[in-house]
Amino acid sequence: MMRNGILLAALFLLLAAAGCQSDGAAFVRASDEGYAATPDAVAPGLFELENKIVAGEARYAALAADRNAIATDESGSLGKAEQAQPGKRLVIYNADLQVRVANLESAKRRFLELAEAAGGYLQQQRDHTLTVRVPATRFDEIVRTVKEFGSVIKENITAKDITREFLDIEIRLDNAIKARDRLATLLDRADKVADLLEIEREMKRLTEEIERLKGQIRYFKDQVAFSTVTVAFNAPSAGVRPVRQRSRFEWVNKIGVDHVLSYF
Amino acid sequence: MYSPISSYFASALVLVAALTGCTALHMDTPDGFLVIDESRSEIKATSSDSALLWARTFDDDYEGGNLSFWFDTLYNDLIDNRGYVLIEQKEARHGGGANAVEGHELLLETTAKGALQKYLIYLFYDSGTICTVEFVGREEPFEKHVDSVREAVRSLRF
Repeated sequence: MMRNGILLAALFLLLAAAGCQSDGAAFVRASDEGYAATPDAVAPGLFELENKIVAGEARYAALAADRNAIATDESGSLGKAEQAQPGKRLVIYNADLQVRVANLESAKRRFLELAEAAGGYLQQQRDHTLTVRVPATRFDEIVRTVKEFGSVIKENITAKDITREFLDIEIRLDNAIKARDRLATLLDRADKVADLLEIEREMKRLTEEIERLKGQIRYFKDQVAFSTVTVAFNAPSAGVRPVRQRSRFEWVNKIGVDHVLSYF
Repeated sequence: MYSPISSYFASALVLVAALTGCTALHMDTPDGFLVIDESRSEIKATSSDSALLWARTFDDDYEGGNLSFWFDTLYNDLIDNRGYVLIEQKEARHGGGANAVEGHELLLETTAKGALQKYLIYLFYDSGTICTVEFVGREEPFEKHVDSVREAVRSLRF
């Protein structure tokens, strides 16, 4: 009696374990197909609709292959440069400087010439504060050079690593594209008006989501490729102008613009 | 003991020593500049648009002075003490071959006489003599002549 009870319990445990494993396998496969990865991308009701229409493992595989092909094309249209490369950090650099210079107009002109020579451009100018976008590869050089224009009063340089955020957006975009393509396939096979409307509504939402994500990728790409340098130029005021001390070396006191202008 | 030959020889030696030990300052002034004052230790020249060029030598009165020390002294005085704005700094040389002398060039800006003045200064040092070449002007004449001044500095001898 006792022995039969143990056998029954063992059999029950085996069955339960098999059931769990079966569920787990189904989840893994769904994830591989790209369904489970987008729980918020597709309305839950559509999974039931799909179950009604699509039957058989072979058909699933064919659909997945189609989807991957389409998704690759659409992702590829963003360009290789937009894809995050493994091991390469994506960093957005910004510099905010305040520099006291002898001549404001000359400093502003030279700063613009410097930015343009580096392949950059003026983004904004407000009074004596200029914001330029310069290629990230020239960021250090531009900042170092503009600091030599005069005395640096304030310097704030930030580097924001967006690698993870960028990859996340790429994955979300990929999943959204795959989900939309799958819906397009379902749309061809739907025969009820209610199903058609539901699929179309969801496809519209996904299309908007795809465009939004593409926009984010373009924005990040621009932010990474071009750094932002903002420089506020200040003219020396009477209060901050250095009070000149005579040098202990007499020949040094005979050098300088004032001396040249006075003794000619 | 006294010999006229040795007397002549001694005089010649003194003369040679005086000539070699006290070389006059020389620089080919750029085209468009008029020399308004010239002596063994300075050359003053001006352009018609009031860009000013002044080359001078000073005796180093201190033991152990060298180019590095005097350049640091001058740099600190002009920039930290007087507030000149440094635009560019680079190495310089005048003369050529074995006689070439290394020095420094500073391009600066400051305000004087109510206007922005651009200021180019060279500093050379050789055998206890400090040599400076200064070029001052408002922006337009300065830019017009600065290349020819740089060229002229290569001909400097002191």
